[in-house]
Amino acid sequence: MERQTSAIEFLDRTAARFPDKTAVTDGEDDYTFSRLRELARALGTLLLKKGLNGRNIAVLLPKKLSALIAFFGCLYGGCTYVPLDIGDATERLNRMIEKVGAPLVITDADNAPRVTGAEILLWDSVPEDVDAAAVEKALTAVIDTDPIYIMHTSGSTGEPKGVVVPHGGVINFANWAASYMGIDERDVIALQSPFHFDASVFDIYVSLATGAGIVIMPDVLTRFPDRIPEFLEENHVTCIFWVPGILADIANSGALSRYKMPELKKFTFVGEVMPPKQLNMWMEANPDRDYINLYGPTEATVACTAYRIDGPVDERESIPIGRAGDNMRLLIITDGGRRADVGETGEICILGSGLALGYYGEKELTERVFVQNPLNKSYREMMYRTGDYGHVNADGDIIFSGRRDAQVKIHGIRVELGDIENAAACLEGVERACALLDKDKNLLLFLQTGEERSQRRLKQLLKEHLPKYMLPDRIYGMTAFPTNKNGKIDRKRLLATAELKSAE
Amino acid sequence: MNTVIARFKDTVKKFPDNIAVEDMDGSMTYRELDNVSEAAAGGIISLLPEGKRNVPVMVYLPRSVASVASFLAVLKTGGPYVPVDYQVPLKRFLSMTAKVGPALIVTDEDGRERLRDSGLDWGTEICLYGELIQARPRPDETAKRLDGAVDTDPAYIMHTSGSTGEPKGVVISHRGIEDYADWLIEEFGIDETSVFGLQSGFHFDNCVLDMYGSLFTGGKMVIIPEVLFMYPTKLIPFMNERKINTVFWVPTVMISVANSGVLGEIRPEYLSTVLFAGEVMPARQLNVWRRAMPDCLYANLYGPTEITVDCLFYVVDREFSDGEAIPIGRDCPNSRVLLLKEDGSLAGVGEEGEICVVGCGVGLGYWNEPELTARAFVQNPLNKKYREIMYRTGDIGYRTAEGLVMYVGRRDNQFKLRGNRIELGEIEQNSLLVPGVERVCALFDGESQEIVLFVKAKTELTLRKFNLELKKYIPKYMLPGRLVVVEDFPYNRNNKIDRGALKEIYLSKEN
Amino acid sequence: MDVEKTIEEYIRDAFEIGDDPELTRDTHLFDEGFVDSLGALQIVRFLEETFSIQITQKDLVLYPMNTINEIAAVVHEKI
Repeated sequence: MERQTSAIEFLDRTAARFPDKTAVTDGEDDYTFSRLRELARALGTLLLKKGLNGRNIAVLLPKKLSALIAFFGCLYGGCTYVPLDIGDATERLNRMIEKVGAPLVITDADNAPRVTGAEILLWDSVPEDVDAAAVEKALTAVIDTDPIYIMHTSGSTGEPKGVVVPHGGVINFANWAASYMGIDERDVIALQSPFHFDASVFDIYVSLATGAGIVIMPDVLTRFPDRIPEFLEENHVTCIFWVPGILADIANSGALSRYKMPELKKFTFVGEVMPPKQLNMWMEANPDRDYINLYGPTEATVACTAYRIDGPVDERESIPIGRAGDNMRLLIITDGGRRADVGETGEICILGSGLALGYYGEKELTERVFVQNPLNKSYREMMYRTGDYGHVNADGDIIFSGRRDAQVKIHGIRVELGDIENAAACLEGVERACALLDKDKNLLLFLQTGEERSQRRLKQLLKEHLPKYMLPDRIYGMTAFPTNKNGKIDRKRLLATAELKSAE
Repeated sequence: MNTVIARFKDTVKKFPDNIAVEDMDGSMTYRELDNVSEAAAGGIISLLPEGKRNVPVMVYLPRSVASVASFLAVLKTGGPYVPVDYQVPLKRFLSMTAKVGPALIVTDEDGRERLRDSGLDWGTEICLYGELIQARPRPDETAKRLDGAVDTDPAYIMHTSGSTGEPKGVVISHRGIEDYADWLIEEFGIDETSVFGLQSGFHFDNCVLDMYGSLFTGGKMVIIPEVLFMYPTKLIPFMNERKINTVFWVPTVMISVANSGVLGEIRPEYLSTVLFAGEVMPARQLNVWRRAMPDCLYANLYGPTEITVDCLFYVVDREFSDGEAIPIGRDCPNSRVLLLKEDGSLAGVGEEGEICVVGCGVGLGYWNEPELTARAFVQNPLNKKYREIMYRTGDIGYRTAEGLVMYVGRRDNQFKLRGNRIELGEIEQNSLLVPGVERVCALFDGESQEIVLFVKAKTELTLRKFNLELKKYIPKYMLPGRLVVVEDFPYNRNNKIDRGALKEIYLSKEN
Repeated sequence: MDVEKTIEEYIRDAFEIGDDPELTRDTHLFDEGFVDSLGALQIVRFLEETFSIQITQKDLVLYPMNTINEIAAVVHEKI
């Protein structure tokens, strides 16, 4: 493994090895690695000419190839890129652009009018001149503790927080993920996640590191989960790194019986808990594939643990998130501040090379969660407190049990919301379950059922199958869960729905 | 496994029968070094506390093959090694041990005897290298420990002079070493044919270049006996006999070889790469080398222990007249050097500023010294947006229009003597332990390159006897070269000794 | 020629020790601070010239030459 200081050196090496291999296709265009590199270097040249080396550049583009050229162009220009969501409100977008101090926004003609207060660069108006010496010089100056991107996550205050991730974190993650999953240039990765969500970092940089191709999945397909398997087959996709919600939707759509997707060998899910029931549906329909559960917050670069699932799982139990990846270490720390014993629940804390540098311009917020490892008094060692809870099982694998606020005591018994969800999802006719506490600490259970079901019937089912202490205060049945832009269950909207219904 | 051991193992696989390290008593191939260190690691593991990571082990051995095998053994247990100068005054060693809190001290029979006879309480296990390597290897256990290691874990702790009178243990990560070694391997074309002639002691971080430069490539490290550096005329034949082609020496040694005239008589015929760092290299002596060996590559390196050996380098690419200063050069890849003015802003071209360093080579701090660490390892004041740790070297320099850094001097009372970093405070604090001494002040006379100690004392003192006593506390290289007995000191308004005035008085007396 | 005497006279003279009785023929010249490390080279040069001998790098590494008697022993080997 060659050492490098900028993640874009992956592209230099891969373009030299596989110049004419297709790197990315988005349904409209496809580019080879060398073409992608040339266009990106041309953009880099322009940014350097504008004197923007070292600055944060916002990228406001749809989920297309053009966005990748923009990201890579920023890196060749020695800049940090800030992917934005075109679906965001214009005012919010401009606030983020201002907050990261971006002097320039790379965008397209459709979105350009929305930007105020920063220079606009249309991605397709960049002259194709490359100043190789200038690009080389800018790349040499980059060190791996420099930021590669700033990715926004939602903050509890309502303002998004910009997580600053260093090159070294992405290099470390991509090398580990590629080797853990055995990815090489023969693989084809289907990119589902939007670029402002860091699951896409897997697709982008594992492709660059290995020469694997990327197929960008059109967003419209997420509304038709039954068509996704056909898309994967047609594009010879071998590897996916997706959020569980879509995978569950595909399983529920019944499409698994029609499409075998024989080439799809590496099946990875990340971002939230994979419902065991739908996982089993996948595994039964397609055994002999690699099923891997990953875990990790944006603050620790995409994912920092992995667990390979051998076969169908017990639907009442959580799937382990496994063990730490290369150069990452997870500690479970009890509320009392000591290291948890096996089986004992505590906060999941992360150490190692993949840690982010903090929240951009948010010193206090940063210092609250990026702290000196309290168990180490001997030297500097940064640790990220995830706010997630979990424990280590007897095999040494970590079991995720939910957010700090997802632990509830009902009649004195500590219950994990995840356990209730798993139990409920096992019920006949239930596709997915989501348990939440409302502001009055009532336990609400939302059930996604393929068809309308009466409240009474659901309650009865639950009474028959759930232990008494797990019974919710209220149950809501719905045909489909609302999801957010990243494809995760939108818990806020669920709660809002509940409020509306109780007001009725 | 993401430690330097992984890289060493790659080399063992590629070049099992190459000689890795050689001293006057023998040598070890890569395979032997791997096996011996594996056995010793097995022995060490049984002495480590259960369930704890990153427990340091001190290594108190002469410069030898055994030292290298011990360091690797400690690394295989997943902990950092702490090299200790075999010549160290025992009282200094004791205070280092108390601060480090090692799981054990690895030494040889002579060393153990010395520690026992000292009558001091070491508070830790003392183990013989010779016995450790007889231990049963525990490959499953070492594999398990290395599996859980991350590259931000500490790999070694090296001590530097501290102004409070006690040495400070700098903590360096695996990532720092790998980064540094990868740079030097690429920059200087190090490979399995490289033969390093080690000058440095293992307690001094220059040795990291020779050691990992060879361990990561399959090259060989020849440990040159210390005594030969006292006799330059004898040093060159030795280098030829051992076919040494790469050296990284302190300028003091380069100078004494140049001044001895030996290069006019006999040339180090295999030598192709000459690197130096640790203090200012005068152009006059460098020119002697260049005239004698015009085809060698010469490079000036710069860096304090706190940032993994070096962060600036300059490959000598033009003629220098005898009095000209040689640049310390440009940033090593993956480190960034910032020159900061007193007001915290960036110095412009030609403007003097403190040399500050960011990047993953920056050390993890001073072991068990959170306050000292917080003072020297700070947030980059130019960056208010995210965490970026910067080490302030205390050295002053400026950048030329070509981007090369020129060294100017120190901001404080630290200086370098024959490549050794010394704090005047450490000499002063320990001088007070000499019976009869009431008050002292140390100055460094750059002209004569010696430490001058001013002493107010109740008894009569001679330099030799004073040093015999002082030697119990500080290393030889810190001993004063001149003793000036004074009635009293000039004081400033804060009732501190006025160093400036003292220097003036002293200098005027000289003239 | 009295090798020991010649060496002692040279050292007392060259390193300005005079008739200090603390220097004996078994005193560790370096540890006791009578000669500094730079002086070692001077002594070897003196021996090579005075006794017309060659002291090789092997001799230096193999034999201790820290006291007058130790130095003299090496010289006796050579002449």
